Amino acid sequence: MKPLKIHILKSGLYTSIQDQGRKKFSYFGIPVSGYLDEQAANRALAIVGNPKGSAVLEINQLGPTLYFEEEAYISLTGGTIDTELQMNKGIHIPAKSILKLGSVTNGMRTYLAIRGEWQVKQVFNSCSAFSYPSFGIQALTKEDYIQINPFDKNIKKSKEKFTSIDYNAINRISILAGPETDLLQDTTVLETETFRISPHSNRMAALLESKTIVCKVKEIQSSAIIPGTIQLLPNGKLFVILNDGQTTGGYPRIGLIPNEELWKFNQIKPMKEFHFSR
Amino acid sequence: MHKISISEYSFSLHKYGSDWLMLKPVDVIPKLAIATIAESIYKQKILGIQEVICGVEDISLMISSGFNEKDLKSLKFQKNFRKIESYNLVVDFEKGLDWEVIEKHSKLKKADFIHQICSKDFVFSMSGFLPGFIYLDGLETGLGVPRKEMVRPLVPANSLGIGGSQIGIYTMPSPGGWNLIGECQHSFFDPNTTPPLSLQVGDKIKFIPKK
Repeated sequence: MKPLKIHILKSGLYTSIQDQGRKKFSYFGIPVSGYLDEQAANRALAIVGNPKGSAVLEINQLGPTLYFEEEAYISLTGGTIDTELQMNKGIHIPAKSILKLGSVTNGMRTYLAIRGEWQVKQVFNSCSAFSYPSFGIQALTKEDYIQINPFDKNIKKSKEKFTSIDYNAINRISILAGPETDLLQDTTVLETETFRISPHSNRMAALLESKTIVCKVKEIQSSAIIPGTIQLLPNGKLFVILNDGQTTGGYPRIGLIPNEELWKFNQIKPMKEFHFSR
Repeated sequence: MHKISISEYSFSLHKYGSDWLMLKPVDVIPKLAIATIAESIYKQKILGIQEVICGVEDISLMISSGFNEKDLKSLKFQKNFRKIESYNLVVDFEKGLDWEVIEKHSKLKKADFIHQICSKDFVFSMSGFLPGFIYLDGLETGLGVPRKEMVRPLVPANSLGIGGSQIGIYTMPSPGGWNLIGECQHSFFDPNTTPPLSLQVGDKIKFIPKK
């Protein structure tokens, strides 16, 4: 069968190919990368019948415009995006059509799965784009294209029903203590303070806006950092390390958003108030 | 507090989230001993250990089902059955972007600084922070230069840099706050081979100025 070719006419704000990420390479300083909302990504894959953990498009706040040369079977999950198409449902796209995706209105990140085997570059067993040009796989830009080998027609598509989540209602994230939580002047400050995610955030780290937070130490000896770690900068501001973040660092780790909460955090819109709880 | 012994060293165990474990030495131990133990854990692919991250004073492990502390206690040291390699690494010091800062801070002329950097061996201790970054031990105190105030958005591949009391190589293009003194003419890191790094803890590197 002829491979599908999908052309990027407009890239949106930050649209990238992501899969389950780079596992077992953090020893070499290789960040895991991969989906920021794993649940939504795997839901998109299940709908079109692609394997769990495989490639999807992760759309950040503003969607891309795509041209489908051949017909395709797609799904959109995660943050609700401006389009005539239905979310959380398998959709047939006819050949030679343009798909224009607008703003993400409920949530922060939308996932687009396209049925078939994606022919994309792999480095360290993953095709996930990385924030920096280290591996030659970065966010999509205009004139890029994705080639996909179709599955033979017999593969079963999922019949599961998915309901959408009201991401804009998320206002509380459960956290755990970090290795340096005890060094905070007020160890309960994370639970009492109000936080907002700064618009200057990216896939490496989400910067938080809040009042200044005081810790007894400004720096620690370089030690492991895992996605979800809340670190304190010398200026008293916090940031949360995300999937493209460095694997070691020297700022105090004063909290941790566990994996089961991190997808929720990653769907909170910039400047929206939220609280941490323990 | 829970403790275990690996080789002749005693470590206390600390949880970091639900699936990470941090090993901190109970007494002061050589930095290279930590790096060597981390490397051994990584290379021996112990059941139930998904990730290994070496810090300056600790080792962090991502644990999954099947992990058994006994496997750490009976760890074999790679160091005992391999040869330390020595490399001559040619550096183009003319490509260093921050000589002005280096000369000012070290109060040494560029040529003298280069002479000192090239007159001894450095020892590979760990990689990490960002992909392909290589930390080398052995920088003399007088040659240390503080990190830049602003992070440079893109450091060219194979840059040799000084950050505080450390010296290291950015083998891949990445952001970086270290002051750069040259460009290495060989890369020890290739993302398209396994393992990507051709150095092992303890290997020696001698810098040779490019003619």
